[in-house]
Amino acid sequence: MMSSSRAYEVLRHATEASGPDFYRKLYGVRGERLSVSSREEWEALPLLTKEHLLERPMSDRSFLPPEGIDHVRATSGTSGRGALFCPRTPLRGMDYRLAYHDFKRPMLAFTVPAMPHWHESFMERSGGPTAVVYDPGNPDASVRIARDADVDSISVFAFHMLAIGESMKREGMGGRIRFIEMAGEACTRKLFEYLRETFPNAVILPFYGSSEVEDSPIGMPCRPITGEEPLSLYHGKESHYLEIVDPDTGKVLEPQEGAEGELVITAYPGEPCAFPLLRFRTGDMVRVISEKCPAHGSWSFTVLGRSGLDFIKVPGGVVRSDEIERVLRLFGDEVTDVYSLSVEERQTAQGPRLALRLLVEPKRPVRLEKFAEAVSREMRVSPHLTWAKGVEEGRFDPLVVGVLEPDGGQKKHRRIVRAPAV
Amino acid sequence: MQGMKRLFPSSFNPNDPALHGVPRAAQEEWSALEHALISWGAKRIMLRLPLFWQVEIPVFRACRASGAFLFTNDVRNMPLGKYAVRAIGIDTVVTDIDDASEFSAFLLREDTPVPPHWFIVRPAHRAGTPLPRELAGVAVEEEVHLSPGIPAPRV
Repeated sequence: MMSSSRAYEVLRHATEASGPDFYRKLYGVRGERLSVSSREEWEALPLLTKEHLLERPMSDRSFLPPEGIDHVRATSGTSGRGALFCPRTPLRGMDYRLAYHDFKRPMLAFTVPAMPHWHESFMERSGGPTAVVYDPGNPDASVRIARDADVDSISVFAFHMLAIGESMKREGMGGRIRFIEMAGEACTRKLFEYLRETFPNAVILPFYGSSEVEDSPIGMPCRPITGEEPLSLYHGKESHYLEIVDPDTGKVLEPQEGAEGELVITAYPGEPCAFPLLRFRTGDMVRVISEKCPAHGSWSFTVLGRSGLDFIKVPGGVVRSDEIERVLRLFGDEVTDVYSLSVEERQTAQGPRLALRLLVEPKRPVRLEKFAEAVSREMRVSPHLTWAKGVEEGRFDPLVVGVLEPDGGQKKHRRIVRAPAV
Repeated sequence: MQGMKRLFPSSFNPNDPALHGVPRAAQEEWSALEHALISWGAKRIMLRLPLFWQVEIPVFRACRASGAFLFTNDVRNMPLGKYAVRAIGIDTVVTDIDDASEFSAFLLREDTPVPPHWFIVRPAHRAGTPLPRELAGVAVEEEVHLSPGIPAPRV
């Protein structure tokens, strides 16, 4: 991970009077540049948000002219804050992939996590195989071209993998795939089992990135996905300085084992750089797994979900998506770990009460009422409070469990949905 | 890249059961596009051809030759394409004849100026289709393709 002194250098560079005024305005800089020399001064800098970026057009933000920009990426706009256009230079710091694959044959690649032209330049060192572009609107056409190109690797969003898997099964290609890189969301056990069966020879590597972060990925995977761990494990790379903060107060938290907070990133890949990112709030909640990763030195973490989306505060604790997954995996003979949880606030004479409705995917007939009781006994909202205990104490309504409607989608389930207060 | 082949689809129809990959030397640049971008001084390029056409990499290389950046816009996401025209000043659209008609009409309906340069690919069977009226007054370069990414010989 980047050292704090290097992060201070990036701050000086990004606030030079001769450069764009984005950070100078944000920090109110009047002199030649802004310098800090201590952790206290650094942590007093305002956190950068997507709203700050949306306020200024890309041409005002970019540290490079158009001819210096490789390509432009747009955020999805699904957060409701509008699409943000982000200038990009070629990705760096991805040599960790070479530990898992030789990249001597063509790759099937979507435009995320990396552009096909970037994959092709990355593979030049292995003799120059091509990238075949994956078109989510036309998976079969893409896979047929991949078949003819003799691809043996894939780099796409996780939710593309079912369509690709089915198409490759029809083409008899599953056995030849040796490397799968998946971005966008954690790999469920159900998806992992599907991939293991469909692509028995593939190493499956997670990719944790963000459209706003030019120097993606944010975290380098500590190891491939094995299906044993519910979430992927990452550590910071040399060009990133990572912090975790309380999502409500912005206060910096110590990266001690078990600490949870929103990930804040300072990213500077060196030149060329279209936009040095300083103390940017990713919106992702992470948990520190190890203060000193035995393999990579710096602290390692796992991504829990979007702040304000994949966890919900309840009296006495927090209901988290990863905790629900953990509990569902305890009952792996009965249900998958795919779920949807709706949270409803009910007004009572004693004040508001929270009610949870958990929809699950049974593997065999399940007595839902008994299953709800079992899940309640296991599901913790704090180290000392289970949902069942909260019900006993009158804090919560009993958990209700139902069955997910099968729709074939992997993406929209496995999350918490808030219902309006009634 | 020496000796490397890039595969392009044999058909414009992605559902053609006989669709397969057609090899072409990867080092062959998209010379007509590159020439058009350089002559226009294009700096902000939007690609709206279907991804299965396999032209992202050749278009990117033409952008590099012109000193332009590339923004890839899913053809189904016209609203995002409109935002890109407004927010990042797209000056050139690379697309096919059908999308040129639909996207330019969409932009005008949405009170968004049509970018000044258009590079339009025509499938051989659409070679005679007239240009959309919405593109009157803008610079247009056209190229006929026998199949996606495979230009017809110029006569």
